[in-house]
Amino acid sequence: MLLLVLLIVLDQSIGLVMHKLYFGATSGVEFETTFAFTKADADVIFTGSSKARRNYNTPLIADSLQLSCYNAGHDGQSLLFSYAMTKMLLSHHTPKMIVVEMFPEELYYKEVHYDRLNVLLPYYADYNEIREVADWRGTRDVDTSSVFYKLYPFNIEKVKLLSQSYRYNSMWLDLLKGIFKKQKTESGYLPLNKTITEKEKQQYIDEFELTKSRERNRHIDANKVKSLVGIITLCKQKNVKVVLVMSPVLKRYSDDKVYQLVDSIALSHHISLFDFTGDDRFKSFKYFADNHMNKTGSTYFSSILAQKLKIVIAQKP
Amino acid sequence: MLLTASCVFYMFFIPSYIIILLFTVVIDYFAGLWIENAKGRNRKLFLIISIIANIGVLSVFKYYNFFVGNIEGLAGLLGWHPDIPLLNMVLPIGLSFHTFQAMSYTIEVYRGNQKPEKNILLYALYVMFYPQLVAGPIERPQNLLHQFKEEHLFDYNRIVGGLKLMLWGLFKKVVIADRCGAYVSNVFDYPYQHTGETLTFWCGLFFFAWQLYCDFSGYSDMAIGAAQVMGIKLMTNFKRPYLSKSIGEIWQRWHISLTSWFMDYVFRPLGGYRKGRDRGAVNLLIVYFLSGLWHGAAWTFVICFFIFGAQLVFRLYFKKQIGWLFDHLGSKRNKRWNNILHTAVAFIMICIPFAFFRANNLPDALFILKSLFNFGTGALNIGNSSTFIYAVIGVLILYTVEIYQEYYSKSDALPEPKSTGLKFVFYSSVIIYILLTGVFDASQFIYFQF
Repeated sequence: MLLLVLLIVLDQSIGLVMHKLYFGATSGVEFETTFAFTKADADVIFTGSSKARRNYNTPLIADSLQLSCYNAGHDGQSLLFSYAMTKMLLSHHTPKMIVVEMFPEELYYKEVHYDRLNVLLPYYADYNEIREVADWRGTRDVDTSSVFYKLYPFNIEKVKLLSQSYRYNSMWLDLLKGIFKKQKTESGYLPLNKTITEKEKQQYIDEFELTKSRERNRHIDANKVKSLVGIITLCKQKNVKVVLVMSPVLKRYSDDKVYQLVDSIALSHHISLFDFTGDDRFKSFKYFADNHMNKTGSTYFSSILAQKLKIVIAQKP
Repeated sequence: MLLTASCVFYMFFIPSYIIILLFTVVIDYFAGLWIENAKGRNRKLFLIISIIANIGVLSVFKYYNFFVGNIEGLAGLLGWHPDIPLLNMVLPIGLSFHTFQAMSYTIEVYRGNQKPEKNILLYALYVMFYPQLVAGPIERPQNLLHQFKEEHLFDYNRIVGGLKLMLWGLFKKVVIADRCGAYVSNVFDYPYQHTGETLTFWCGLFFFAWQLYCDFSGYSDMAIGAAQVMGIKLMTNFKRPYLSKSIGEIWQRWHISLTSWFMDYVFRPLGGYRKGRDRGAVNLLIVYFLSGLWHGAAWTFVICFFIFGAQLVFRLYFKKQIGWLFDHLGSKRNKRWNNILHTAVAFIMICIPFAFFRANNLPDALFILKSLFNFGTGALNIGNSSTFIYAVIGVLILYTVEIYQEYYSKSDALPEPKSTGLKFVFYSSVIIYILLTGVFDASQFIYFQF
């Protein structure tokens, strides 16, 4: 009994300290996530994974569009995070446009994309908007209408979230680092400066193929499809233009199934889809730092994208 | 009650696979009875039937595709390309563990060390006892079966002891193993991205050694602790192997239940060291070859364990020379330095073959092995610095606890404060640290796959 009381007191106290540290951060990923979730007020918002963060030169696009832009891309995330981001963003601000960066492969089920949703947990108590997505950490892509789920509708994540400390799991070191080391971005854009060689490009391609071949139970993730449709629906409800962009990659990987699916979603919802994954203009390894574009590549890509976005902005709703 | 719980536990993975388990349970149960009642050659016959049934199940589910792959590869070399169908199914969880446990039952009955169990439900519980069903320890009937028949009264100290062991096991799994695993994946899944980074490969290898140990011994601690809470005492599976002073000692402290299984049922029946050093060396190599196969149907495992065996054989033949070398490297006055030197060398020796254990395929393993000794740039890529630091802190805690247990308390007790109040604060803090730093994702226990 004494252990339980002590545990609760310690947990609440540590949770409180972590809360102060997290929401008091003035730079770093934690600060940027909070900013994007609660304060971002730009006209154009980019969301997605590290590809959004590295490939979209936000200041250049802002200049070109003559609109304020913010890059809310988050390293290691997927459409699941973009859905949570859109929900949070639209709850306090109505931008003119949301640009969703999506890597076609990310539509496939990957455990890691659920694991990384831990970045949503600090917001779990105070923001209802992200709960649906955060709860998926516990259920993954289980079909919640299935007999199995009805027999055993237990979501372990909800139990873990009773702990205040758990909401800041794996964050204390980053928060401490954030106090001493300030990371500066250009409206969320964080360019990479190095350039790969032709040989390295091939190595990245080979290793990607290898990783893909090792994946068991490879299937399209229903939650990600739901997220994509959810983003579009939410934006439409608020009269926000939404654009899907597949930025350049080292090699066009996915099979046609994914492209057909994204095409059909974009078509049925009458939204623009810009696919640069097979674009020959970005074939050169000189535009890449690793699997992401480098500053030269992202600047070139962003200048082309900006022209396309300009046309979409000018279109009547 | 326990049997029902064990069945439900097993069926959480793939429910239909329980049929495979029940099949071997029924065969071994009757084999035990028949061996007891039979005389002369028939006793051996029933033992062979039981072993064939167990090895047969193991061969079909675990090794069939491996054999087919190798046959096709060999046939291909001869210009023949047979198209043998493969089995497209997931390996039943913990198959190698409960199969070996089941075999130890019939062997011990055959040897007359164990009376056959008349109650099939009790025998089924022996094979399926859920704390150790999927990843051991691989128990012996003499140690486990009789405990199911005994009355287990409430014992506060026993239960608290079990819970502490479970907590330490959880700590090892989520704070150390899974955190090291993140760095290890980065190195071993993408080795070519680290070309020339010698220190990265060494670091990856060391982290894998700690990951493997904490993952597996963490599970063992949880299994032993859970059983202890219920009043069942399971055998010790790990005794701080990385503090061993020789590779031979490591194997006496690592996965003890499997090592002793092979010693009792393979090495000694083959003659052990009784028939001379050369025959002993061959027997050792056979045991380690089989141990590699037990771990997985892949040449990487077989090679890894064959190297372990070769290391022991080398030690068998060059014990004097190795002793001479250590005498010259060590200090005659400073015993502590000697201990550190022996421990470090044993650890490094055991780590190198792990490159085969973890690598995704043979070419990757060879590339990693080559990179370990390519002292070109020596660069260290720490990847995500937070992951690296969390892992290092975890490993430091591991060594602090184990050094305390090994050299100071000389027991398995955790270093805890003496006062009851402080004990509560200490264990609450451990739980909070797990919540703050543990990896709570979908990572599986490595040994579940075996």
